[in-house]
Amino acid sequence: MEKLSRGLITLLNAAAGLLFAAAIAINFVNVVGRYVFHAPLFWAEEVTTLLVIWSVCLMSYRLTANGEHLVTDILRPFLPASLQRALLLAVTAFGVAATGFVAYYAYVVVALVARLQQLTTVAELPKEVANGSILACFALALAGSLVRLLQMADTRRPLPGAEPAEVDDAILATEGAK
Amino acid sequence: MSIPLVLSILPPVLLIAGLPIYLVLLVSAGAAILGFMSVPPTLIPQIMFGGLDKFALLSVPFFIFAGEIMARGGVSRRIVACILSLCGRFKAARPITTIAASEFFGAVSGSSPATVAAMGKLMYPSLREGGYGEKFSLGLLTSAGGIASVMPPSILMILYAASAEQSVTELFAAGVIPALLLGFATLVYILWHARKVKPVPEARRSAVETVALVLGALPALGTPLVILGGIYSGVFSPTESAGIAGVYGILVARFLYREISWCEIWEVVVSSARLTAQILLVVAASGVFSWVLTTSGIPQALVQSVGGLADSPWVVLIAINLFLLVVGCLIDPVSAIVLLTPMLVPLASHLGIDLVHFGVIMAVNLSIGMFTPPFGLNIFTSHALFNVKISTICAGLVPFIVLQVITLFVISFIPWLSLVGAQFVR
Amino acid sequence: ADFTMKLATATVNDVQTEAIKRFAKRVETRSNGRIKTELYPAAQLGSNTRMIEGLQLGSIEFYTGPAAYLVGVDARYQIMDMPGVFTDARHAQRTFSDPEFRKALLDIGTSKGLVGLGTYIYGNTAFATRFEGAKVADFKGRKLRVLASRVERKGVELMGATAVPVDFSEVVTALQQGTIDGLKSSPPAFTSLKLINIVKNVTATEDGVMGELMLASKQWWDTLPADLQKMLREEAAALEPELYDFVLDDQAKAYKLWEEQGGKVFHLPAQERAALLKDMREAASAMLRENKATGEMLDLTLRVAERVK
Ligand code: NA
Ligand code: NA
Repeated sequence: MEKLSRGLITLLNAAAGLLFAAAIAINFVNVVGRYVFHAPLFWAEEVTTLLVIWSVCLMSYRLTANGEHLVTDILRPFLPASLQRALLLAVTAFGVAATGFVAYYAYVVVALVARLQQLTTVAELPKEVANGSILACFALALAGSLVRLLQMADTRRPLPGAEPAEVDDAILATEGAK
Repeated sequence: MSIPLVLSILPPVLLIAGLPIYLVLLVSAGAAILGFMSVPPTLIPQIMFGGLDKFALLSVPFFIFAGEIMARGGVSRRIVACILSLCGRFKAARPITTIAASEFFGAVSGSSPATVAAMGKLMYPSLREGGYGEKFSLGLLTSAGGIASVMPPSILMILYAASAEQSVTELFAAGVIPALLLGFATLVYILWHARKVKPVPEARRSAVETVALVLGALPALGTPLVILGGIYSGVFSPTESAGIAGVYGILVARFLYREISWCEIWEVVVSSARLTAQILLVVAASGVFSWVLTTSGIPQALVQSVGGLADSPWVVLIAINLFLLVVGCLIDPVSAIVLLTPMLVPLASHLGIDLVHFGVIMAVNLSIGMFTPPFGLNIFTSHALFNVKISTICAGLVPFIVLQVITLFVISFIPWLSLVGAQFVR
Repeated sequence: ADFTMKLATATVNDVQTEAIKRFAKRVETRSNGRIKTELYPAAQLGSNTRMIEGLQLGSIEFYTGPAAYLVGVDARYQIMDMPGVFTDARHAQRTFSDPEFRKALLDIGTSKGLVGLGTYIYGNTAFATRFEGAKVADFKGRKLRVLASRVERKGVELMGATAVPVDFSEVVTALQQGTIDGLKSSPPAFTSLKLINIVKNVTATEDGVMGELMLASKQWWDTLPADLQKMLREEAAALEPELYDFVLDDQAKAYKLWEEQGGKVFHLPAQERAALLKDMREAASAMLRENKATGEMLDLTLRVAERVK
């Protein structure tokens, strides 16, 4: 499972990165096309927005599985280790339920727009391409939180993300590597 | 139980428990929907998508990318070295460089968290090298980005103008002096703070060295020129400029300085995508929270009670400012301005407050909201960027928040500061 | 109240806001409080696209907005924006209010979760530009912002200009900085955006009208008793002529205000305009005829428009 999860993250990283890079490329081509050649890509704004949204949604697996989401970790540092594990388990289990709930209703929305054969206003793409992003986001978050829950239930493992790593060095390293 | 109770109790409880912030917002909104509203839960994914489906929002990922490319490709290092070689002998050179660079970048980008992301990567290591503390550096960087919403172009002002039927040009012009004032207030604090710390003295450089540093940094210093020049000559829009900045960054770092490989550029793409996801998921979820808040009638009731306080414009203005500061703590500025402009503008015009001045007040207020806990995109951006505790960032922010709130009241009660700019284009 | 009705629209201080205000008032009065109304202007409940989805999913009960945004739901809605068909706004009104056309248009959405209640217009089409657009040749090589529908793009290309889609949030900045040279909309929109501070010229091409729809959520509609359904249909129909009067008055005021504030209003030379409108109509017709359903809708519209001339 560990291997599978890491493989999935590598794959999704690559996919999200490609979409992100494509958005930057289209934005550039559109500006050049409009200013230099008077030939803008009429679909550029809609498609770049969709590319970034999909990139965001594909990242949701690793954010959830690795515990990289933005959180305000106020209570946990004050608890003893055993309670910390219990709290993390409870929060993660709660996350499974919440993401599963949203994933189901995201599916209902996608099913509806698919049944009605609707198109996006500008690029006239099937609307499933647009609304499907949120379904993907929560399906991946559900999978990610299940994996995290299973990993946490294994008491031999250390607690994930207990202390934020010292970043000063990390940032200085990226700067000073040259 | 009622909606106001759910929306005021659930979020703090879940936040403290350590649920991811985007889920805190979704679960609170979901509880209100399931318990008290006759709308289907399909609303949640649908409005989440709507929260992301905004072209103007793209300036956030694009500037994150541009900022990272410049940080990794030696662009930002050269800018910092150049400015420091020119004014490094001055007291507090590094924080002053930070605030100046943040204002400049914020002016261009129009996006507060994007400014934090770009300037953070650029200036944080430099500040720490210069001997400034973690909290001070974090507070400075996290708050300095706020100026982006006041200095033109500003997404908040565009949204306000559309809603309040005011001229965007006038609002932009009106924002300049207040934005400079916010920067000046921060500057005063920086100088005062620098008296207490012992900044590491900058190395003395010969004239030749300085010229070499400046020449070497010219392409890097060209970045803001490319952005500003492109926007003001109409080559591209403010949002597009963010993407162009990234491409320009690649050109300079890869082909001119040759300090970054394609492999590293790819790494920056992936890490920018991750950072973008962390921030935009919260934006999307806050859209759902705002939707529920809007239809619950809570903000409307609050505005009414604010309006009923007194007939004096001054008292009501204080009340509105306090109210907006609280709102800024809880929801994101774009949602807030969309939500509150139609409700507050009648109140303001009833009291005879100039609506351009009022737009500036709202923009300044909500720009402060970007870095007031518990909800502030700038805070989250810093948190994601530097991987430090949110409590550490908040502690560092306190003096900057106090300072900017004082400036806010000055801006509120001296309409001239805003209107003198607007007069130029009227 | 037995029912709550959220009425939503994307703008403020214009005919759309007037539509939700007046409709809400009529509904509250006629239903004797059985329907409680809540107003959400200024896109408080989301963009046009989101509000239309909201109707389909049942989270919003009533929405009014441009037909142009419904093209993704069904391509037949763009018929209202057909260029070169209506001699003036009142002719468009007669066509849209004709029982045969009205039924055909309002029933389009029934199978897609949208109950059509009524139609009106936002105004005649016009351009606000940085340059003086006195004749068609003045538009040659210019970059003009239009809604991204194919018909709109084609129309601008026929004038020799480049159609540039710009997100609404950036229109004003783009116009100010010269990223675009002008935008196509309607005079009331120009004054409410205070474009006079940025550009001085309006060209009243009036090649068509900007069609508007009043829609209810089918999910909600099906929960209503028959008498309330009947009442809503009647009140929407009764509101229509009021909205035309409001918008045409608003438009006349907008032109007047534009000139009072130092702006110029241009009209294309009659012959040039006639030729342009003919080209636009032919191009749009050709596009609509590519598809059977839109082709049939076009035939119906042309027939009715001819009958009520
Ligand atoms: Na700005
Ligand atoms: Na805040």
